[in-house]
Amino acid sequence: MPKIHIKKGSVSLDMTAMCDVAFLLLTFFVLTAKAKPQEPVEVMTPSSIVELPVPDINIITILIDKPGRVFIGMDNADNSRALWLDGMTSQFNLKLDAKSKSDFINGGVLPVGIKDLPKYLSSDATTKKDLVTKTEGIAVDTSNAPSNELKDWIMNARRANSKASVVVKADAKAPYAVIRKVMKTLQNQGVDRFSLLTTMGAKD
Amino acid sequence: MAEIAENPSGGGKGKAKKQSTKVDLTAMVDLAFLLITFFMLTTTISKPKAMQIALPSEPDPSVEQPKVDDDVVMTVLLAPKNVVLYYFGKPEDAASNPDAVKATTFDKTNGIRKAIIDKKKAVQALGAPLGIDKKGNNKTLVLIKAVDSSVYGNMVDILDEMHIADIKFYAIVDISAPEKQLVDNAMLKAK
Repeated sequence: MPKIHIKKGSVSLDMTAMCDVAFLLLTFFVLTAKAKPQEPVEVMTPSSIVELPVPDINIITILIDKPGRVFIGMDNADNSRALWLDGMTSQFNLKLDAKSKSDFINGGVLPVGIKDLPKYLSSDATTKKDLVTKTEGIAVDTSNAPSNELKDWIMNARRANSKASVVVKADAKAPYAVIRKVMKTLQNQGVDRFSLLTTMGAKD
Repeated sequence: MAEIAENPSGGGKGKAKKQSTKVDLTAMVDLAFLLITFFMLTTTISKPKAMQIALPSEPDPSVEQPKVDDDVVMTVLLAPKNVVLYYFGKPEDAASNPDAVKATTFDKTNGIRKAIIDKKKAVQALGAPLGIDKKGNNKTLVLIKAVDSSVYGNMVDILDEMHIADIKFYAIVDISAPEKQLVDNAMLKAK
């Protein structure tokens, strides 16, 4: 029986095509990737069948996490965050230094209420993290009294950016009691129309 | 392929020797795929979707509110633990007659969806003007009421059911005390 001779060949391949494809895909993903907006808490939104996209700018985001803590944020279209902060600081008689102000303007959703805001903005990263875990969020109830802090945030946000629409991003397991308070507050502020953020999911 | 040919030493009389121009791309491809994997995993492909919701503005007491016929009204009560109660017509009748209140779930075939679609068909059968308005819309009115201990996800679910059943008239309303009692009774019974 003749022996089978395996020819010793070069194992190197031409990688040019593969390299081309890899970089093509890489370019695609780099260009489509969008930095996730920073949010202080993780929120799992419920799924629904609606297919309306959310606008990217001019939105006031109300974040409600699983235990029912409320946070608020707004994008910085037309420098509205600066106006927003000015409105809030003058209403609550707060004095903030320039660094805190720029911190606020470049931030996303606020992890704390107005009470902890100066402390939060002036502290370092570890203290910030600590504050976020301990914070109770923004106080909300159904009244128009000063106890309803969310009302002031919304009012000043709408003054700062009159085009802004409200988006509620709530966790699927958030208690309805909090949602009801937020909806009532929005209604009292004349915000009759707003959006609920959901992820798309098939229902049938 | 894995080497860049070096110039032969000595080099002669300006006669350029042909060199291999091949470069080893393995490392580059490795890196490229690594980055692809990173970006693929961090990119969120599905953008979040928004559900539009309109709350009624505060009613003006000087304007008389339009009357709604009891035959077209269905009230859905959202209870804890994904339980849904529903009844038709006036809340007083439901409170006095416990059998009128039915409990169901968000089941896809036999849950609240079936109840809503059945009610819609019943209203359609009433014909104009009772069940169908001048524009040809089905007049079924669904009132959604949730107790404080229910979860937000259920509210989105029931709004979704409104979209699925194509209910034109629905509203999220505050729950009344007798209705809270109904929910409590139902939860006790379930235990």
